[in-house]
Amino acid sequence: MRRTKKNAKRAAAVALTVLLGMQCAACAAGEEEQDSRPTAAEQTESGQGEGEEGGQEQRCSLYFDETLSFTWMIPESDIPLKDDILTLNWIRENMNVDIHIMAVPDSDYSTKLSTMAGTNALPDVVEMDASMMKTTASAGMLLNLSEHESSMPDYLKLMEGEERAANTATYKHEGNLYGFQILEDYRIGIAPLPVIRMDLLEKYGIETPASWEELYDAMLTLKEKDPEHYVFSTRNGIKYLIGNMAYSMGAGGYGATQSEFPVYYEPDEDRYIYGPGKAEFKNVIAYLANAYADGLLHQDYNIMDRTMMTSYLTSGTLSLVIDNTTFSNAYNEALRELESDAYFDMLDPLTYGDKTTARQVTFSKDWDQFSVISVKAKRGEDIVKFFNWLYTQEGELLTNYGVEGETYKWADGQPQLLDAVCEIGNYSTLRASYGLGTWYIARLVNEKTNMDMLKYLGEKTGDLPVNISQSERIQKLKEEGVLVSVPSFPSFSAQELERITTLVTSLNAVFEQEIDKFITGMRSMDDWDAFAKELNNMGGSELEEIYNTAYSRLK
Amino acid sequence: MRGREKKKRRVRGDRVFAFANLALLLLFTGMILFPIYYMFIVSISGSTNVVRGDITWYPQNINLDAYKTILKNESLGRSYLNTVFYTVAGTSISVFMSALCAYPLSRKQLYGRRAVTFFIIFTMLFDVGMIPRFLVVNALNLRNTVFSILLPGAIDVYYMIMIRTFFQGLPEEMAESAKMDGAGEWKIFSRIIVPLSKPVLASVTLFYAVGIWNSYLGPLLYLDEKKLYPLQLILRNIVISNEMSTMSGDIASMNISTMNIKYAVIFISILPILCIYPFIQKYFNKGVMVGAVKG
Repeated sequence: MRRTKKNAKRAAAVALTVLLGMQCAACAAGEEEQDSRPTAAEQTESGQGEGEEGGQEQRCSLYFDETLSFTWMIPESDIPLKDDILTLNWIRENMNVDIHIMAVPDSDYSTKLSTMAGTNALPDVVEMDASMMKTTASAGMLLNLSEHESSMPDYLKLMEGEERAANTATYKHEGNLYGFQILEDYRIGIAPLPVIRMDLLEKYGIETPASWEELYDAMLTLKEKDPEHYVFSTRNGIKYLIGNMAYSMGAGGYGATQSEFPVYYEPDEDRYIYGPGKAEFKNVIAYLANAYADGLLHQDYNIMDRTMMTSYLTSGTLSLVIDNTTFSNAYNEALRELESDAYFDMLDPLTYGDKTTARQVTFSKDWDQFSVISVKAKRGEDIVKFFNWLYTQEGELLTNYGVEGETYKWADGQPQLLDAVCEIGNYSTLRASYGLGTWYIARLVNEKTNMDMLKYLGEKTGDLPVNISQSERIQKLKEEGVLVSVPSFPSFSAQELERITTLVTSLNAVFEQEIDKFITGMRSMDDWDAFAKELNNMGGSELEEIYNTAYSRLK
Repeated sequence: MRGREKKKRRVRGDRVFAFANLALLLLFTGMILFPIYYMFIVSISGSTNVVRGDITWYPQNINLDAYKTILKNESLGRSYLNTVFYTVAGTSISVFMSALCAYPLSRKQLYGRRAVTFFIIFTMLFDVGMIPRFLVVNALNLRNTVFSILLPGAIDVYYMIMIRTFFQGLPEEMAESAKMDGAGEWKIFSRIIVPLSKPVLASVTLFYAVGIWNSYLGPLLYLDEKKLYPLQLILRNIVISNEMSTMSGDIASMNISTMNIKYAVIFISILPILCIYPFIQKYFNKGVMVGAVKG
């Protein structure tokens, strides 16, 4: 009995020691972290000291005499975000701005954001989309940037310029700006297009398809040569695939560019249209229904995620995908381990029916993401000045290329990543290692760094990744007007937004419930017109009306 | 003669039942264990085989690079330690607080016992929801501290009632005789009641521990600093958002894919619970039964 007691006491003592040890370790780690990074106060002191002696020259055009500290809530997506990183340390040292990144897992960012907004506990600076920005602005939680226009001339110049003025108008709430949008100075070409096994087309003597009909014939030949395998599939459900095809077949809505939204802008009619209710939408459904019946579309298309689809594509089981072109490199790298000559490449936008010119919608250049400043933030005006600086050449250079001598050098008047940095070979790792580019603090994004890296590796290995040529082709297609960027939605009132949410939710539910029946042949295509009419009556027409009313306010 | 045949038939019937029972249980066990086994074999297979979907029953081109990469990862390591801390400290606090609350409620002589019990049980009928909870944590200045994880869920009414029911089942004479020997309430609680209640405390410990180990929403809402994040926050982001880039430099130079990493991380995160569970399982059954049958 006594022994048991003794053992229990020992166990308790050990447990307590472990607990204390862990806490101490955690504290020590925290201290260590703080110690390794000069604090803002130390920087100010040292800066002021040297300044008094007239020693160190400030390296940035914007410098705050009193340390500007703020917390910035950012979704943590594909890379981990941290405070102790090249760009943020440079800003601390040279601008006297101490940014504390509050990294929230992207998977549940909206939950945290809505909880904080619902309790009026927003941190100083927060990332959110246009719709959330308008909601929180109408609740009086955000700093009205339009009242600080004199502090953000560089940002206004970009937003009110010819290229962006129309979109900027859609992001305003009651005529005022409330957020700093993530803009792209240079973006690697990307479009949701058919990406096909070009080696197989060459092997079987199939001409590169230029129309959806030719693509269908090509798929039939591929199936004939390899009857055991399907030809294509999709990820994230059939709406994604339908959306990527619909615009080029005369309708629109859903897909990579519009996600869950079925209403799209139809340039031929200069108005917004509920896609599934449009007559041409039937073209896509009939195409996919035929493909399913002919064994071209994978029978498990509706349960595939990206991982599953990638495994099929890279194992030679599928030969076509209609998805973002930028994924081609990854497919090719994995596929070449299997067959050295095998490769995927994109097809140019395809024509359909009697149309002689193709059309395809792609992502807009800029992001639907804004940095907003809480009305409770201290020194809001200074934060505005700092964000404006991010849109200057100096800001763009730091947040995309890093620090001269450490990550880039100047060559022929252009910044160029150092070879040692290019060796990283992966854009995500580059961003994660130095705090550069997208999903970090860059607000004027320049993806030339990614291009530099791809070219460097291509030249080194003698095998240029297809993304480089694709990017150039996409750029050309944009200039020719074949590829068009999806325009941002018009600005809605709170009541309109609420009604849109209700209608889209119920329409999507009915659409999803029935669409697979049409594709798998459980429901005849003869019923489609009646189904489309039903969707329009259920709210499709009302949706169109709301969008077009809002659009007319912009005109 | 007839009796022997009847017995024989019964024995055969028992055997058939036992066999069917065994087959069914093996099937269920397989259904539960296979996903875990599959996760493990994918995590230790070569990336090319994984990406191509070659892995079905056994690993191919075995390599442990995914585990090496994970163990080198700083944020995963810290979040793992955080989770261990939250689980150990949170479970200790929860079990202690629950037992402390249950003891007076189990004493018949406590004045107003029924009313207090009613008010406590009444809270089980409603879930206040995310926002009010967040407001309370915020108002108490607990946000972004370890206490925001340890304190708001310190007492789960259901488990507290379970402990109270167990305490009520203990003979009151023991407490009375201790009182006659001069023991106070604290001494009775700590020296007599708690040592006699090991089964229920062990099962409640397990419930709390698993709950805290898996907790996700609380840390997501209440914690702002990454250095305080538990494993589940990091894990969910890795699995859903594909946040792999810290490791992608390593991935590029090794024979591993994101799938290897994902499955290895999931496997590592469930490992402690998998290891502990069989040892506490006996208490788990006993505790739940005792709590369940005596009202």
